[in-house]
Amino acid sequence: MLLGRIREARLARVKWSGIALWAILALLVIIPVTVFLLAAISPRLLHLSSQWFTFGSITAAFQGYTGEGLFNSVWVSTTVAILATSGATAIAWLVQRTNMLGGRVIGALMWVLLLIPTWIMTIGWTNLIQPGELATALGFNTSGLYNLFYGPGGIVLILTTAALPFCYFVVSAGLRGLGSEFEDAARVHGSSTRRMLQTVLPIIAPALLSAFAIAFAESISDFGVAFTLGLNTHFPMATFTLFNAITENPANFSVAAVIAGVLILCTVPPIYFQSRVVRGRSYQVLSGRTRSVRRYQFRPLTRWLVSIALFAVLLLVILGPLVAAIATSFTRTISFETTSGIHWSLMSYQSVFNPPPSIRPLGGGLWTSNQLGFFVASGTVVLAYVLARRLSATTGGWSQRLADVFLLGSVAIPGVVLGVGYILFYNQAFLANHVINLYQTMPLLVMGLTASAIPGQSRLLVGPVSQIQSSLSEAARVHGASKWRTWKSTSLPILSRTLTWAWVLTFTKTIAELAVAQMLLVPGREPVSVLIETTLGGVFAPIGTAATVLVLVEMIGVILVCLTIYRFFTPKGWRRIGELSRSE
Amino acid sequence: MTNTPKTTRRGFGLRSTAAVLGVVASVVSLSIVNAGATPVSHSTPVVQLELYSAQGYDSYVVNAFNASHSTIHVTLNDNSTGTLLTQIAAEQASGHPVWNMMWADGATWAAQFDKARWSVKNILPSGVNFNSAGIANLPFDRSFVPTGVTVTGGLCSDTVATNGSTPSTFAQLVNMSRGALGMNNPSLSGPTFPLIAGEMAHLQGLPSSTTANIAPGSVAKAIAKGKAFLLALKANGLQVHNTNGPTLGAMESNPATLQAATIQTSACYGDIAAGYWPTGAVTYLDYSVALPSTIAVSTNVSKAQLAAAKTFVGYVLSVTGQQAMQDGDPQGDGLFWPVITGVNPEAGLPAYSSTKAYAINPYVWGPLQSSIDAWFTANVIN
Repeated sequence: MLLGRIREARLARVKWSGIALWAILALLVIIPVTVFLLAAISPRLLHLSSQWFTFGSITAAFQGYTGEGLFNSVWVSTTVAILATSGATAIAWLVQRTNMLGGRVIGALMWVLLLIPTWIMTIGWTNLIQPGELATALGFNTSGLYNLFYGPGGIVLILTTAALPFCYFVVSAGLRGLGSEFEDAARVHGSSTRRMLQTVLPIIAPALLSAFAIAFAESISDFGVAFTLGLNTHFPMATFTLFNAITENPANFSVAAVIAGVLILCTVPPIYFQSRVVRGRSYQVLSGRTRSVRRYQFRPLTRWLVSIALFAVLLLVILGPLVAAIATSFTRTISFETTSGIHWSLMSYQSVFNPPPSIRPLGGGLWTSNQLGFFVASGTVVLAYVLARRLSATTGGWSQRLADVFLLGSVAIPGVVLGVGYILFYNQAFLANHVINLYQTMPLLVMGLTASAIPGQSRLLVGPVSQIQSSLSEAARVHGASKWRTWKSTSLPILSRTLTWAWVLTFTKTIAELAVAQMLLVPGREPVSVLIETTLGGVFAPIGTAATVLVLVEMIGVILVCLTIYRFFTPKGWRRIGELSRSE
Repeated sequence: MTNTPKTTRRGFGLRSTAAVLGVVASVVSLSIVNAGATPVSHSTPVVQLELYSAQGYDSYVVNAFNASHSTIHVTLNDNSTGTLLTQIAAEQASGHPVWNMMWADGATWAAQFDKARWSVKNILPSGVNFNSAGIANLPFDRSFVPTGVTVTGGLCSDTVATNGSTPSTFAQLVNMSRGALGMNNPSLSGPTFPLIAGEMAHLQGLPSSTTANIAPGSVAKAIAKGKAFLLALKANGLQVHNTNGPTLGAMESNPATLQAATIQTSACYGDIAAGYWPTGAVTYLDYSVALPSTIAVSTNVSKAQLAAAKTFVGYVLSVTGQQAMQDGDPQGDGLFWPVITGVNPEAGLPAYSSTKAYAINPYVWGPLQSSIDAWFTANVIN
């Protein structure tokens, strides 16, 4: 009797929710990636060689070309993280805290930038500045610029533009929740602008550090840019050397596992730094009563100059390559301008809807991708929110620290590693024959895509979640509200906009995702990204470009629908929280 | 605290929305979960085969085959060659290979499968009438079979840029005007390693054969001569692009940044036939390198599946199958030279003999690919 009660009491103390969460994460990320990483030291486990234990692959990975790739990846990612975080903070401040013109348009431009995968951006830049392409047709000599672009300069540029919107949304969310009373207080006490910034910026430290960490991890795991810009200039990046090791014939999973392990370890310093800064301090400034801000008023001339300069940079960076890619899709030649002139044509778009026999219709792939996007986005937002809450808790134990390390480390896992890890684990003979055969099924593909999305989205949500004052939920609980009702009436209204963004972002990123989709696709139900990739690689590249443009249009359509639903279906009060009052 | 009528309506609205979303999610869930299920009932004696293929015509051929064979159903995993090889390597490492047949350009991957004992030998069905191109690319143990031949290392050029004057031998390529010649990167472009291996083997005078045993010393000499040749090209401004697409784009642009390139000629024929490149031309030097498309069958198949796989191979190596390959991608991979008698290549392709195709032994050169690619990356790429 007594023992039974003791057992019951012990069971009651167990945090089942935490166990369930870790079980899900284990199945999604930890076990498949660990199985892949084991290839580094025990190739026999995976039938790769006769050695049960060896350090040979570790030595090989740090030599010559692969070693150079690791070094390049670290310094490039650090540079990108610094540039993207500082650039995004400056833009967010201009948009949210000053009277500059066109703030809403900048938000929209950031969305456009966020939507475009780095490989499409790279194609766009190439379509713009490669000799014979759009800039040449417009009369510019771009030979020098083109050579500069194919190397570290181009890689840093593309990765910074890719990381910029991530950082912008994270920092914006931080700034939006920050009333102007802190700036006012600093100014009332006679602070200069610099001193005022020194006072205010630390308050949004969680957001800034989140932005830095995400930019670093996203850059170090990016493959598209390293693949297209780094190789031909003898500037290897780690993700490319990893890809090379995996696609060698026979595949060298052991060296690839070492490189993947190093990439994951590279994220430890940013996590550690972030944890040290955030832990034990409170950044809870966001509440239902956050007041509207007072904007810094530029003088008319300065206001115009600042606005024009910012728009010029953003338009060049975003619309330049996009317009070049779109323009190219309206020609029927591989090169924009040929020796016989520019051949404008709708042929590529017609071919998308009425494809030649070797190209499968876009519609089926798009439907599959939309289904995947729906499930992956929904699952990811729920899990990412739960993880973000754990990460932002001020009294976290080992579980929180572990989640911290795990999540950012996971951002740095290239998609191809996740894909191969999934095959290595979920296609194990024992599992497949006696437990469940998931390989080449849609559920496994959803799992893989969710696993690749969760780490980034969790990081994105940590900033906003950590700024919610606990007094809100405490007040609700004191008044007798259940946990669910407390969450629904306090956190949900404040985070509704952020969660909507996270859902839409995951949805669109899932449609564009390639590496995991290629590895885990269900034969006969290929996602649209795989269909496009196979088309881009062949003689029908112009059709692939046209299909890419159409997919981008579809993504923008989904975003508009979601934001419209948000606007019409949410209470007015939800939308007002943290919003700026333009009248001020 | 009681709900006001307004909040009650809101509550009902949210619930209704949630209910609708729930129903939609359930419907989509069912369709997504069922997607992985095999569309065949157990009562029908249909043999299932999973074909991994990177060929442009594969879906057309598979549909034609399935339509004409009621007792066999081939499911297609259509992906890039690199991805398929990675999937297969991972499946083999997991101990549960799912692939049944693999079909892609080149023979080096197929030779490696044979050496690793991933593929079964003697898959050639009886009654296939190979022509000389087919026989030249058939391995002694029939662990894979050629299904068509393209060549790499023909000279694609823009007639405006070259003014109609092009070299006639590989040796003359080093005398072209500086920066005029291009090629692809062997780490990224599948047909480029066979080209480099072919250049090395030809410079050493190794026999044109897929089966000849070659002394290691001769291979080492061939590699040394080939490296010297590539470095001479580099000294003359050789431009290396990733794959066929960018290389062709550099020749087709105005101004052309490349005059000519040694690449897979079917890609050039494709651009010319599609109307993308009206000033393009293909000429052949003193030799080109044969690049067969090959098919291999996994050792992890049942007897029924092996028989079905041989039926599929037999279909591909029939007149109907070869024509289906041509019809399935007439401006792309369909521009190959058939490997059986009685089928003509597509219009626009010259006689196979005019390509002076040179065959390399995939068992000798396949294992050298990683080290030669690495050397190329470190020493030839700009």
